[in-house]
Amino acid sequence: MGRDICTLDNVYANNLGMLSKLAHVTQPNLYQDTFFTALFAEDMPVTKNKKSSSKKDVRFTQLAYYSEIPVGGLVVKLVPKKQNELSLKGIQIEFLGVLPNYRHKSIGSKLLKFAEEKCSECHQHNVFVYIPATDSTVKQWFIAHGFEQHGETINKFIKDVVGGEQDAVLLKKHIS
Amino acid sequence: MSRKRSTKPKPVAKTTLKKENDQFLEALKLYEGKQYKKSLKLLDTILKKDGSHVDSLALKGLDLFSVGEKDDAASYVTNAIRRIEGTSASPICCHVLGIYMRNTKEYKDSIKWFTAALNNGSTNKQIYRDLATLQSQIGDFKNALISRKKYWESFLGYRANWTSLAVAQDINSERQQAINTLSQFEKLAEGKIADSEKYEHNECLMYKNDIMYKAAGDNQDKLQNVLKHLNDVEPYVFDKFGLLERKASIYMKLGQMKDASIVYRTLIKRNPDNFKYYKLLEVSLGIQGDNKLKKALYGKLEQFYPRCEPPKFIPLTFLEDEKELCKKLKEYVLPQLERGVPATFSNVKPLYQRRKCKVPPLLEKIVLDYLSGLDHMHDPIPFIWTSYYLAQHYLFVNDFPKAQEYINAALNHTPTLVEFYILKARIMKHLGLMDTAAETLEEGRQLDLQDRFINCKTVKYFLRANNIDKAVEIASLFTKNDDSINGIKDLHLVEASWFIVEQAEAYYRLYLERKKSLEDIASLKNEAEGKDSEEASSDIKDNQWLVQKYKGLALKRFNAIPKFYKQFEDDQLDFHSYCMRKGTPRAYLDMLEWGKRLYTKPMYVRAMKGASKLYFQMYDDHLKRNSDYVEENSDDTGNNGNSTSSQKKKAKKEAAAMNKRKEIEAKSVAAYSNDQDSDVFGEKLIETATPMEDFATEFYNNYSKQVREDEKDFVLDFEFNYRVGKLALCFASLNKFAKKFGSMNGLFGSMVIVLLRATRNDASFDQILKKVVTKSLEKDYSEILPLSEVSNNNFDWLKFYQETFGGNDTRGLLFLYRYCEDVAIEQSILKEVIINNISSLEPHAQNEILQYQL
Repeated sequence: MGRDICTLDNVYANNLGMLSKLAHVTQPNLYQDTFFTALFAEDMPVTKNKKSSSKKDVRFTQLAYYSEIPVGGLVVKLVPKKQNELSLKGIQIEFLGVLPNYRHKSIGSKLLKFAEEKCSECHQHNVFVYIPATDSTVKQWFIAHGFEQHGETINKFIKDVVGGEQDAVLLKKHIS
Repeated sequence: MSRKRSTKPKPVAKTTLKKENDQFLEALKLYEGKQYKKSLKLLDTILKKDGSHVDSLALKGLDLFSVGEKDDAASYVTNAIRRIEGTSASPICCHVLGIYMRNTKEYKDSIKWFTAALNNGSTNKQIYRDLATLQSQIGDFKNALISRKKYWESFLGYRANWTSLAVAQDINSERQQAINTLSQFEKLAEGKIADSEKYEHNECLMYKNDIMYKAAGDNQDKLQNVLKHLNDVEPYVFDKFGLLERKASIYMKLGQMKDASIVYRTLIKRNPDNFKYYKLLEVSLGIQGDNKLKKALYGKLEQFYPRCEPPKFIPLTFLEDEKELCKKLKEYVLPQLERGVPATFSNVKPLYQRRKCKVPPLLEKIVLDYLSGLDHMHDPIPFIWTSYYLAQHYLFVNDFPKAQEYINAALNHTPTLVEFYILKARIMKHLGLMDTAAETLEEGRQLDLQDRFINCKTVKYFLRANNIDKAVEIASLFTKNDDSINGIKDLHLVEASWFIVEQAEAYYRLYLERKKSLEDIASLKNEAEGKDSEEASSDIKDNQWLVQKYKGLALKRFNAIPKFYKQFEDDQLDFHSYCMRKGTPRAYLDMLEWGKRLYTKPMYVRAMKGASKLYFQMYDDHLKRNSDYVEENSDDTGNNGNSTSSQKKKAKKEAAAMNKRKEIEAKSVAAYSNDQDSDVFGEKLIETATPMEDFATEFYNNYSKQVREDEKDFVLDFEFNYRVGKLALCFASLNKFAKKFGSMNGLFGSMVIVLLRATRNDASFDQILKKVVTKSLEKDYSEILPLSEVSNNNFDWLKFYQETFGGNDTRGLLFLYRYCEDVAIEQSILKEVIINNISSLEPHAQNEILQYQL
């Protein structure tokens, strides 16, 4: 086998459905449909004139394929400026998910590595993520990948589609 | 140019005549130079002086046709022809008319005029080539040979002419002459074949061998000759497969099995994936019936070609011993599942079909065992594809709950694989849940918008679910929608017959549904006379329009299919000369064979059957209409009689609203551009006064001309002839049907009863015909049929049918249902029998019958 069984590739307008499906399956009820459609809907004016839409968030997306099957996805946002006291600047992971049956195959690590590379490419030094405070598995995963908690638990930070709210913690990893 | 005289004896001075003639020739030259406008101008000056100059009239017609003014062109040409007695016009005029007719695709007339041009003294030998092409196109090969010969005589310097002469001779079974023609040219060309001509040369050599082989028959000496020729030409032939295959079949015919088997082994070596060669190798080794030897053979071959399918697969088709078969199946299927081959089930499906009792249970056990040893986390790929396989397996054996269980397992495991959605939708379809099926596919389609396959599948499923708007919307994502709001026009342009036929069927189903609901509303209205009549009547109007629209569009779409096939037929025209020029006579002959079977291709037949339902219904309605119409009309006149001006105004307003609505709807259903189609909704099609004639000319004639006796649809044949009153032909179809399926067949029973009842006293068929049929029925089927009860309407025909023909053949019962009035069976009783009968069918088929046939 010359090729890695797990590969990464970009998300395109035509397979955006895959990303949204993955997000809905791995983290149900968290993402609005508009979160995904917006990724490409506003893409066109960006290419047309970059300057006027400089306000628009810059996001990077990626799909992970295992044996040619899409099994994981990643959406990160470039946060070039600190928004408030508590937050950070750098690369924010908005979605990182792998189908349950394909975990423990280092697919998530690969996606994370992609995020870290983007971080250095954009001359940033932080990769950070908000996760539900109660979810210890996720927390452990990030800590195992070199993240550490930043600040205190933030109350009712995560809001889901059905109106529920959850406390969150901010995890960050410093990239030199 | 030949000297010519005006055909009309006119007292014109010679000088004017000459001048006119010169001008005409000038115009002709301009036409040839494609300067139609200038040519027309010149012709107008001639015609101004002499309005009856036939040559100019004809040429003007041709010019006009070339600039696209087809109606004007036609009038000029008819004008010209009107002035000609028979075909006695100048050769140029005849030639011009011939070209015009060819352009308008009236090939027979075109041939007539081309021939006339030659008979009237044209020295233009090119006409022979055009003539040969046209004669080949209409299948007149006898005269094509004559034309080919004439042309060949005039232009001996082109290989194409020799080849086409040989082909024409071959088609006319003058094989020896054909061989001579080809040999003669070979001799002439010997040593002068340039590199660029080598391919043509190779084709012609093989073609010659084809003819020799055909001519040799079983004659041993001749076959030896063919073999010798084959060996001689071998260095020049590029088609090594063709050459080897020919060689092997000659050896087989000569009985030299050993030599044949060696050639087949060579062929297998060249292409070890072609199943055909393995089968023929078996034959040449004479071991088809000997499983033991076959097993040994394939064991050996498997070692030689370890990466090839056939040696692994073929033993599965004949191994009898269960243990051994089980082992081999395992060796075949499990590695594929392990690798995650999506098509694993498709690969073994032929075994499921051919060895229904043996293979499926074995494979079920094997694959279930395999799945139980898999861990969905550890081996995700084998796990999902094995589940996928099992879902297909259970679908095949009609165990729908299990099929669903496995496909859901696969989908839960990996919801990002489009294939799983397709299969899930298929299972839903079999369960009769058309809407869910379409929605499932739509979910899958959303995952990958650039996948054309799932796009088409989704479209098809939405059409099956009668959701035409959604289907068109999705289909239009992949079409070119320049100036139209959807892809319908483009789909017609690219001849996407799958879509058009599916849409036609969807429209047909909608038509039936609407018709039913219209009847319901009407009966409701009758019950609640007076109350809410306004609302009800607008409801009725709405439904009436929809019924008409769906019916018209269904027929319109069905009728689009034969148009494609006529186009296919017409497309052959160019190849009568092109193939000769390129030197591909073998491909040319293949094309002719294809052309002969064109109107029996599945898609054509499907459209024909779909359209037949509508046409037959229209015909039957026509018969019944008189009484119905009187009622309706009296209703209308009653309304008109005492309608006030306000009512009139309202009617006018409604009509205007209707027109507006039609205009808007027309945009989304138009299949052709506006100037080509004045009947967007197919309204004219369904208003025809002669449905059976329309059906015959649009569909049936072409089909029955080309279809082979043994594959003919006798039921359709019967129904058609029954309606056009050709009872003797009905009897013939019936007889053939009986020969093929036996005279105890349920469908046969239904047909024979219908035919028998057609001879009853009060049936409206020709008396003599009735007698003929009665005699024939007496002769062939007097033992089965209660001939004395023919005219007895109280005779229990259903009971007789059930007792004689078993009575549980659904198709037979449905046939009777369609003719229940003729055979005097109470419709409601028959309906009940059918409903009881279909419970064993799968849900999908049940629904179809309940919704659309009863």
